[in-house]
This record gives sequence, structure tokens and C-alpha cells, in this order.
Amino acid sequence: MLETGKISALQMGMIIYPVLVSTAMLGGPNVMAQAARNDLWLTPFWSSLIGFLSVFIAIQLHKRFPGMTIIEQGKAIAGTVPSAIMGLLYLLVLLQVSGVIVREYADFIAIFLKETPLSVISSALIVVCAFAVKGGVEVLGRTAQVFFPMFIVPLLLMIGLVFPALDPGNLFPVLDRGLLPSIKGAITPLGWYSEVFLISYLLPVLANRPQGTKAAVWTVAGAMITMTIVNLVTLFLMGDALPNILFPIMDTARYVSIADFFENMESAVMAIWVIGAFIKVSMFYYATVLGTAQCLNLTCYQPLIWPIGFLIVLFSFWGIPSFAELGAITLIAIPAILAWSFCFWPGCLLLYAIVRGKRSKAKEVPSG
Amino acid sequence: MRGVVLVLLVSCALLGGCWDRTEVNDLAIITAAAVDKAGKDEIDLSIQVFIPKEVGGGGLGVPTGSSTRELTTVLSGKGINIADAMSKVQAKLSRKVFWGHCKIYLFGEEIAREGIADHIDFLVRHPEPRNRAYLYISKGKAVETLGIESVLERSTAEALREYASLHIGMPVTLIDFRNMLKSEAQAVAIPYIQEGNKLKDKEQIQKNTPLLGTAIFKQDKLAGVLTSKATRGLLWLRNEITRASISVDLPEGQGLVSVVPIRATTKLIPRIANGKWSILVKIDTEGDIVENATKLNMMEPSSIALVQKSVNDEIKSRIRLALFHLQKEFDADAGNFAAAFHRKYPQEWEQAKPMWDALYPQIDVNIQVQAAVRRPGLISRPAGSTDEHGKAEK
Repeated sequence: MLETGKISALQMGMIIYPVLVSTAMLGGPNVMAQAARNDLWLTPFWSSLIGFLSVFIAIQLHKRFPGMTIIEQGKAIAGTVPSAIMGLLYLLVLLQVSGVIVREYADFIAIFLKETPLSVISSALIVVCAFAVKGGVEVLGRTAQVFFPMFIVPLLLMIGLVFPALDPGNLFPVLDRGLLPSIKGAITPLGWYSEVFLISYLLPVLANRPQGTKAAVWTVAGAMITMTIVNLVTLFLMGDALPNILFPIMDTARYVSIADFFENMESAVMAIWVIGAFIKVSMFYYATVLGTAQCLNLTCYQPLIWPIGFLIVLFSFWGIPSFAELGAITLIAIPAILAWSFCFWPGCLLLYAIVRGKRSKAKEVPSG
Repeated sequence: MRGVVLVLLVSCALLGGCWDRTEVNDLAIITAAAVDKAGKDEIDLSIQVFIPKEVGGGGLGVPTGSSTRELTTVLSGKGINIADAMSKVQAKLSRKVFWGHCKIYLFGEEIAREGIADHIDFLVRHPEPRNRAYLYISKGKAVETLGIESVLERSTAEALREYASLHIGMPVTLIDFRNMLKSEAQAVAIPYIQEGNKLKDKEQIQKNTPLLGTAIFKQDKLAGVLTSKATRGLLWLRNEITRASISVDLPEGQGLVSVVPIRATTKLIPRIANGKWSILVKIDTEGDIVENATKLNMMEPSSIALVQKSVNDEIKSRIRLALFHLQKEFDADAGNFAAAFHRKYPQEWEQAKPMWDALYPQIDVNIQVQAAVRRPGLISRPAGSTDEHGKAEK
């Protein structure tokens, strides 16, 4: 085992929740509103279905091959050569997606820190994440636990503060163009929810494995509820203007004004976003590093941390000349890649394993 | 060892300093901005900038007459759009302009007629300007308003902001404007204020009210102006009325009674029957009596009923007045009937949407007001009544 640390199921949930929600915190309502308009409250429900499916696949794979991550499971199911090819492709995907997440983070920060070079913003994040990854899964779990309240409290506070300005009338007419627009709006969030498959890297290190399924399902459900609330709040506040506003949550924060002096809440949104991005990038980073080490049969993954961090920064620039381009990529291409690699491909592996009746030969290492 | 090298490398990267460091004393803080038309395809941007050194000298410093020292100064620049004009203004300043505290945006009447959406774009796209900043349309040139000395507040900007938060007129923020422009009705209402040079000296300020009414925009172009009275009607329609007293003449009591609404809710109930579009404006309000110049005793249920009936009629007539202008003159749906129809009749709305301009003036409006006078205030009979039995005389 490359990873010797243990985390609790709750910590796993706290790692995965920001992974699912943090990107959605930024542009989510805008992306969903473009297709779904005022029916965007239903969209997180549709897209969360793939999240539940991914959880199911990850859990089933883990039941057949306990103590293994998806890379190892691939080896056990498909054999050495095909799995090596698939594994490398998989790592490329992880690298690319991590790069895009880092770029989203950097581009958002750069709106306010205009003169700071983008490379410095993204490198700074990667350096911090690298330390977290170096500490292993336990550090990841604890930082997630520490940061979780800081992620959720400013959000709730902000919603509370804009509450008087909300106009529920913007919800109507409900589903006037049928269900289709709300399903169309779910295409991009599909990718975000399929990211829950990253639990494949965390299930083997759970101290209390039986709770793993419950924690994962609740995480997806929690992310769905969060997104629905956020969608409703932004819709109630902005109405028909929503599809035109790139960062609706930040706009909501900027709207807060209590007694003429409690204003400028966008720093709270920045805090949410920095914390969320930190956890999310750390998790992807960790998955990439661990996966690479497993794919190459290394005995420890630490030496890979800095080179892969460097690659992630490179990928955050590669092929993304502008924010508009980034938006175009994240709208269709990235969700497609995510859904393929986090849901479709593991699903195929699972089916193949079921058909061939493959199971882990070695007896499960007792946990804890 | 590796750790030390790493720390050294990282600190090398950071030794360049903080790129986005800003010091307060490097900033020129804008408190208000005015946009006027300067010529063909040119605008005139004026900003009111806060003069920092004049503030805080009060305590120990040399006593200065408060009337002589200026707290703000006005700078202008011409350009093809706000960004361009801004760079011209910036060239006149030794400090970097900062929009973060700009609470007021004024637009001149002339530029408003040509459309202000392009200029608003700068304000909502740029990360510095506040979403909660208030918009005003000024009669004549907007820049003149910036020069007015406020009697109570530190600057015109502060005065206008306080004014907006009193909710006498219809306060409209940048975000409201953006949302209204994107709404189905595509009509916008912004408060309309007095020309700046009519409020120059103290005497004029005492005589003239700054708020003249509401500028009604069709899409982003000024279509017309509602008077203060019609503005009240619009506020009733939009469910935004807060504290405007309603004075009604009671023939039975030979005098006026004033009522201040405490609570008010307006519901728009659209109806399409046999292809005929109509809307029911349903208002529920309750209020207290604040002035009674009649001979009636306000503790008598029958006189309260009289007051309620005339308040109903008065509110109705105000709404009718506003609607007359909106429907027949400007053809601008500032009451947002479009949203009401869209919400209740989505299919019909989809078809009617392109013809909304033609349809809107034809819509039949029924108004139902349910006014309740709850409390008479502290006294029952009029204060000036010499007659012991006010009711007996009637």
C-alpha cells in the first residue's frame, strides 16, 4: 500500500463536498440558467443522478476489489497492458482537469488582483496543495475538516443577508417549456457530480468502511441541496438577468448591504472560493500523484509531487488563451471528459468484472 | 536541506513584492459620477472626488470655517465612452481613481434619450463599481448636480444616497436597472431629479425639491417623465410604496384627512378571456391617520369608513394617472405587467411577446383597493375643534 494513513468517512465527505460544490459556487447558476432559465432549481436534481451512479459504481468496484483504487482495479480487471494504456490516459485526464480547475481559480482571483501574474496565482495554490498532498491522505482529511465550516458559514451568512431582497416570483412560470430545458441545463453539472468518483481513492483508506457508502451518498445529496438553494437564491435575486452574470454568487455577495456599512461581502466569496479550490485541487492532485505511482508500480508517491504539480500549472495554461476559451471548454468538453472517465469507463470495468466474475483474489486487509 | 532550498526559492518568487498592493493614499476616491452628452458620439464624464486631507483636521488642527472648505472636487473628461473618458479624467489626477465608493451615478436627460445601456455596461462589467450604487436621471446637465453644496451632508453624493434610502421616490440601484432591463417588460424606471443649477444657493435649495418624479425608459431610452404624483401611482403598482401620506378631501367633514400607509401589498392578477387581455391590480393597505382637518371624530367607525372609501378612490386615481402615462403616452411597461402575464399564461405570452408594444396600451386595468385605517393617532376629534360634540353638529 502506498498510502498508510487513515481517514474517517465523515472526513471523506468533507473532502468530496467542496470538490463537487466549489466550481458550482462560482459560475454554476449562470451555466445552468443559460439553458434552464427559471427552471434551474430542478437542474441539480437531474445532474446529481450521475453522482449517485458514480457512487454506486465506485462502491461496487470496491466491494469486488477491496483496498484498491481505480487504477489497481483496472489492472486486476483488464490485465497489465490494456490497463497501463487506460491508466495513462486516465492520468492525462486527471492532469488536464486539475489544470482547468487551477486556471478557473487563477482567472477568478485575477479579476481582482489585476497586476499579479496568473502563473504566480496558480503556482501559489499548487505549492500549498503540494504540501497537503505530501502529508498524505490524513492531512487532506484534516484540512478539509478544518476548512469545512469556513466554506459553509460565509455562504449561509450571505444567503441570510440577502434574504429580504429575494423575490420568489421569479420562479414562475414553473416548467413552462416542459422538462427539457432543465435537463439541458444539467449537462455541464453532470461533470461536477461525476467527480464524486474520486472516492475510489479514499475508500481504501477509510477507517470505518461500512459508513463509506452512506457518507458518499449524503455528500452527493448535500451538494445537490446546496446547488439547488444557491440556484434559487440567485434566481430570486436576479431573475431574467441571471444568464448574463458570470459569477452570480459573487454578485449576490456584492449586493449585501446592511445598515449602509456592512457591505463588500465579495471577500467572503473569495474565501469560499479559495478554500474550495484548495481542497478540490488537493484532491485531484492527490489522485493524480497516487494514480501515477500505482500505475508505474512505484513504492512511494512523494517524489512525484513536485513534477506533477509543475505539470498541473503547465496544463492550466496549455490551450487556454482566455477566459472565454476556458468557459467554452468547461461548458461541454470538460464535463464530457469527466463523465467518461469517472462514470462511463469505471462502469464498463464494473460490467466486465461482473460478466467475467472477477473478484479480488487476495483476502481483504483488515482495516483500522 | 531541501526544505531550506525550497523556502529560499519560494521567497525569491515573492520578493518582487505584491503586484496588487494599493494604499489608500494612492487612490482618488470617487463619490459620485455624472454622464452627459458632449457632442456627436461623445460623452462627458464628470466625477466627484473626495479630498482626503480636508477631513479629520477638525480636532486639534487650526479651526477653519466649515462653509469655506470643500470636501469634494469635480473633474471632467470627454471621450467616446465611459472607459475612454475615464482615462482622460485619470490624466488630470495624481492618484488612481477608485470606483469602489461611488454610490451615485447621474445621467443627463439628453444622453438618457439616446440610451444608457452602453454606459451601464461599463459599470456592471468593471469589478470596482458597487452594485448597490443608485442611479438618477437629471434634468438638464447631470454634471451641475455634482457641484451643489449639500446643507446637511458632506457631499451631493451622500445627500442623494440618503435621499434614496428614505424611499420617497423610487430608489433604483445598478443591479435593479440591470434586472429591469433584462426583464420581460424591458421598461425601466429611474428617479428624475431637478437641474443642478436650480439648486445652487441656499434659497433655491430651500424652495425646490430635488426629486421631480420618475424617468421612464423604454428599453434603455428615456421615453418620458412621470410627475411626483404619478410616481406614487407607479410605486403602488410596483408594490414599492413605503411612506407617502395620502391626503383626501372629505366633503362630509368639510376638510382634509391625511393617512400614512404602514403596510401595503399589491398583487397583479392577469386574465386572458376570449383573447382580451386584462389585469386586476389588487391592493391591500392599512395605515394610521396623521392629520385631521375635518370636523369628524376619528373614533367614530362611520367616519373611519368615509376615510377608507376616499383613500381607496385616491389610490385608484393615482394609479390611473400613472397608467395613463405609461400605457397611452410612453407605451412602457414599468409596472411589469409582462412578467405577470408570462408567469400565469406562459404559452399565450410566448406568442404575444413580439407584439407586446402594441398590446400593452390596450390592456384593461381594473383596480381594487382595500384600505384599512387602523388607528386614529393620539387624539380623536380634530385638535382645533371648538365644538364639544363634533358629531352632533354634523
